[in-house]
Amino acid sequence: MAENTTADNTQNTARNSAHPDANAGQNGQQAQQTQQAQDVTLTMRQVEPTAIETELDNSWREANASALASGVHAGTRNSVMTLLTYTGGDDQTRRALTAIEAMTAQHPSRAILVAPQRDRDGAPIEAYIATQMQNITGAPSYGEEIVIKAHDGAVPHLPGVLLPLIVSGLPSFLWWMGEPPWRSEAFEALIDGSDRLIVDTSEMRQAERSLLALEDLMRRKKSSCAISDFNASRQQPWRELVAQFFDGPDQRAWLSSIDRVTIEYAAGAEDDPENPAQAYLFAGWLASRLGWRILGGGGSQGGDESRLHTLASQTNQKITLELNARYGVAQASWLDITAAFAKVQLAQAAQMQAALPAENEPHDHAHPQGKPTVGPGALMMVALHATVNGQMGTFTVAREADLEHASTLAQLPQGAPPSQTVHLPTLGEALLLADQLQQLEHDTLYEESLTMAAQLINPSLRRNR
Amino acid sequence: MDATLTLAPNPLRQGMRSARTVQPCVLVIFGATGDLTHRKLLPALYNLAIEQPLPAQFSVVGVARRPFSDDEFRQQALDSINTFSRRRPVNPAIWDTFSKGLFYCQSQFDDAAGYAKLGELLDKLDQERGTQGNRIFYLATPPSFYGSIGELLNSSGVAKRSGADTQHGWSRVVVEKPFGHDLASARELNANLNKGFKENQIYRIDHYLGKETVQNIMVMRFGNGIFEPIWNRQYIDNVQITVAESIGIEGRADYYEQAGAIRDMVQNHMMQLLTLTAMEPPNTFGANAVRDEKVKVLRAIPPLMESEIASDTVRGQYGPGLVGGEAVPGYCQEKNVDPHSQTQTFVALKLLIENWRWAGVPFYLRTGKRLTKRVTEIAIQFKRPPYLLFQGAGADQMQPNVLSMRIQPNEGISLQVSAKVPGQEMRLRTVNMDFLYGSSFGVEPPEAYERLLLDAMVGDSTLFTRIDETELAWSLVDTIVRAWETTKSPLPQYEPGTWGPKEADALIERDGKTWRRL
Repeated sequence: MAENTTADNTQNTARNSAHPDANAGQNGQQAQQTQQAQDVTLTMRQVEPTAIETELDNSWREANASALASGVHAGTRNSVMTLLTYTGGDDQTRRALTAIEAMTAQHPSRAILVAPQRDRDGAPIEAYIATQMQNITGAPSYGEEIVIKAHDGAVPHLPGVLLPLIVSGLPSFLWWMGEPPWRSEAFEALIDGSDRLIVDTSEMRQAERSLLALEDLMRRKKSSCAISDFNASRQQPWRELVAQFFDGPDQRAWLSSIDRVTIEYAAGAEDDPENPAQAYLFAGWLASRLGWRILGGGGSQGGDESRLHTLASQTNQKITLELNARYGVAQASWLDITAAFAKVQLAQAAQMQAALPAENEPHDHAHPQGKPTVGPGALMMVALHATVNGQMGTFTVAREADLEHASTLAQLPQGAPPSQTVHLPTLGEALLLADQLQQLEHDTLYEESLTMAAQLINPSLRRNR
Repeated sequence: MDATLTLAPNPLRQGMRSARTVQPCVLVIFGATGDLTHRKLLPALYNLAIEQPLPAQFSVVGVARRPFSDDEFRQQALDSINTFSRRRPVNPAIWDTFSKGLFYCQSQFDDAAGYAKLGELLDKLDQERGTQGNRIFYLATPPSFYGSIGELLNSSGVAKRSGADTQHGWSRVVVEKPFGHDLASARELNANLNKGFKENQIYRIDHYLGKETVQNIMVMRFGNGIFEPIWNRQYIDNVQITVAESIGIEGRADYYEQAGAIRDMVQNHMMQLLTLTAMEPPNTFGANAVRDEKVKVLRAIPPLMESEIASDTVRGQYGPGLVGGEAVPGYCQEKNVDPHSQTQTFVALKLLIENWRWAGVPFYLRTGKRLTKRVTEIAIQFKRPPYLLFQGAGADQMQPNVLSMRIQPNEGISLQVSAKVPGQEMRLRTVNMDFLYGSSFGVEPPEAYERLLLDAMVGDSTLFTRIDETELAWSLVDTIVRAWETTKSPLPQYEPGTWGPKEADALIERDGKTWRRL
């Protein structure tokens, strides 16, 4: 079998080592090297696509033999799932690998990455493998990675290569980075082989169209595959803060009297494409929880006007919903954000290795380019206006200027709860992925939000159902 | 029954992953300048504030004798968080909101005027911060104050006699261990608390129940289909529960001299481990359903006769010796310990549970200080195969199957099975199938106190001990302690760093069994 001749031996040993102490200190260094490398497979072993399982067995056996020879305890090959990741190219493959390596400690898994290759010569499909050990939390955790490089012509045939690699009996997840080829045969076959599809609607260039396609997929595949969206995890603290306003008996009456909702989301320059996916999903959540019906509006396809909708509450109270872009917010690409998180995790791994007390909050202060940023379309402000007996009340959650905290403010004629500031970290892909991987069952909250979001975007959907 | 006025569920909460909603409330800590508050409570509250949003109205009132101002109490809290929180250093923006909800009330614990002052402060917080009359009183004081605090909270009207939603708010009280030092004192303590609180308002903390791995005993037993059918006398030979510490009493002579290992560990933590291991499946995961089943187990343990106490219990005390090459004092040489102390630092017990599931299966318990290593585990030892098919292949030397649930360290589950040694001949060897928590879920579990504080805030008492549990455990311990005292049974010394006195080995070997080597 041809070894990748450019591979650095030191890196290869570190990656293949199955002993915690042998590898713990090198994980960080290695992740950094992986990040910097032009080709993610530089540190991996090339194998025949038909011999992936055998070569992985050999790799673990060699690592354990070497651990035993040096008098240390051999590692246990364990796995709690298969994560199949389809990347759009080298950049996304690097991002995916960084996220997977960072979350191996939480979810020891078989990770299969597919990197389509355009305009390249060579075999239609190339396979690379690596075994890795993580010791971030003090307990060793083992994972294995398979990278499949596929030329354009081979992509339609990928399910035949990938599906046999899914570990039987364990949950399998399909993480599709970027916009999936909706309704393509290969995509649908991979969905059928997975328990859960994970996407990130904040990455999609035409967010409204993608939300419609995702909702369509969700309806068609409901019995076989659950749908996850990183945007669902990002919204969790916002939903919590808004729900909290109405937990107490004094504030509950305001909930049924909401007459206006304003949601602002982050956007770059006015000419840049906007991503209102989070805003639509948040509106969908509110509407689905409170049993609102859509009366009109929608159909706005970008531009600088607000997205305006009219809804009705269960008591036929008219509600105006306004989704506004806030321009000029510092946004970072996910590549930058993921790289910044990798740096924070390296520092933490080093601290744990040296048994030093943590000086940083976990994962919190990763600033790409050293300044606070948010991801595309991040929620900036949610304001609910209500009128009870002619008196007005407003409930607002707003992101602070530092972009990493949010504060609540209730303005009521009397009895307003105190304001509260909470931490609102920009979550890296590793954390978002880990969060989604904890769920096996359908996320009905997300699915109902998505259904409403799709109906807001395309009112004809609700007329047809 | 309380005259409850139940608020309809918040529709925005429906379907949320975390269904545990904390209502606006104020946590009143008695003993606010003490060690427990400093090391555990304030850091745990801050961690909850940063990780699981507590409501904006959430407030803390510290009550203690020291003449602190609100600002001085806040400074102490900041120091605690910066020293002991797993989310240190403090996040300034979160601290700003959190600290605005911290207040201090100087008072003696038995001074009625102090309670009037506390009541005024709490009423003010209800008005200004919207805490809605919901109050949790955390007694982080010596147990001797529990009675007067309970009584004065009631007579002053500061506590309400309801643990659930009412129009005027609810009150709950959280009590630290030890809950009494025998059955009589536990009953007296409870009677005093009952002057201010009903049983459903009292949350008795056993921090072992806040540990993830202890909670996992129930998940492993009742969340899997394969264990329950063999979890009985047909398949199980014996159960061994070990709570071993390698350290000595670490300067806690005042407490330990009164308690000893049996009160310090057996009455609370070990009884919890035993009941969770032996209980029948509850019909719901509700607080009373779970605790009803635990109580049934305690009721099924027959009272030990004096002769049984002589044969089925062993106590011991560590002598001077070497640990890790360094000389360590014996218990009687520890600071503030009576040189002729008869306090036991080691206990081994054999208990039986007389019910359909466990008849004839001995439960062996051992706990002690200055033992070989720090380890807590429950080992289920299964019966040997009925017929030794592989005689001469080492099968006669084989260990029986053992399922061990390790609580600490290396939390996880391990199953010992026999396997063939590769080769031409038929040789057998015991191998371990290991599940390590850290390897499969590499997340840092929350501190036990975070879980238990949150449970008290949301009104979930599943992981707190009910009075009948506490009384039955004391009743068992009292019988043993009384017999030890009246019969003047020997108190053998054991070498530090060992697994206790040889009498403990004799206890189990009489039944043809041995302690697990850990």
